[in-house]
Amino acid sequence: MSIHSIDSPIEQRNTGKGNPNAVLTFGIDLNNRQKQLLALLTEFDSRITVPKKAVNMTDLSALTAYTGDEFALFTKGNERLIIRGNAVSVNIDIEQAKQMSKQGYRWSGHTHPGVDFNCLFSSDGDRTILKQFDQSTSVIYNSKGQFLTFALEE
Amino acid sequence: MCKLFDNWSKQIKDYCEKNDYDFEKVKKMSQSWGKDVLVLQFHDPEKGARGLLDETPSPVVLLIKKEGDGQLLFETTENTSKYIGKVS
Repeated sequence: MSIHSIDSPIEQRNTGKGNPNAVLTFGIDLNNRQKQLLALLTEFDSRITVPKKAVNMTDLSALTAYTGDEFALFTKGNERLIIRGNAVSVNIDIEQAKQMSKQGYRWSGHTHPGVDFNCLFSSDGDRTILKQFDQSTSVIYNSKGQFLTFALEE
Repeated sequence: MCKLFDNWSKQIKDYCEKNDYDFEKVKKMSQSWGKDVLVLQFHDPEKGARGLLDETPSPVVLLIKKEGDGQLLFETTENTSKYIGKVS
């Protein structure tokens, strides 16, 4: 299946489709590329690889608004790996994170379902996973498209 | 790491001195930030072994927000004294 990056911006500007807050608050539909992604991410621990331009964190925030599930995004070169979680977790433990880091992935970010500011707070698990990658920061988005960057302690 | 912390460092230090918090402990807290907000949390390295399978938030110790007038607003939590109090 081909997922084109051009599907998102024009649709979103004109109709609000795919805007996380619009999806959540007004029940606006996902945009086409988000629908295509969701069709491939059908259940907990579904994993897909797509071109880098085919998904961004705002898309995952919209998918979280639509499904109530977490999603995590990892990037290697020009490809992105998306993993669907459930309402409270994503199936990434320390060993998997180490393997993914060895394969060259970076952890671009993940989502936490909910609309409150405290949904953006990181967990001990988030920071433990971040340590496995060769990077010092990642981002957490909530269901409204808001986000915080979190970092390892110095 | 976080430019906001560096930029606000003097005000944070002043706040700590006024409220009897330990600035050295504050500097060691885990940081999350947005455009005008900084969240300091206590990260326990002994926890988190389940990775993203356990997303229980780390204790929030201090929230710092920049108000419209440029002043910083400090919000404490039930964890503040425990983790950054001078006597613990």
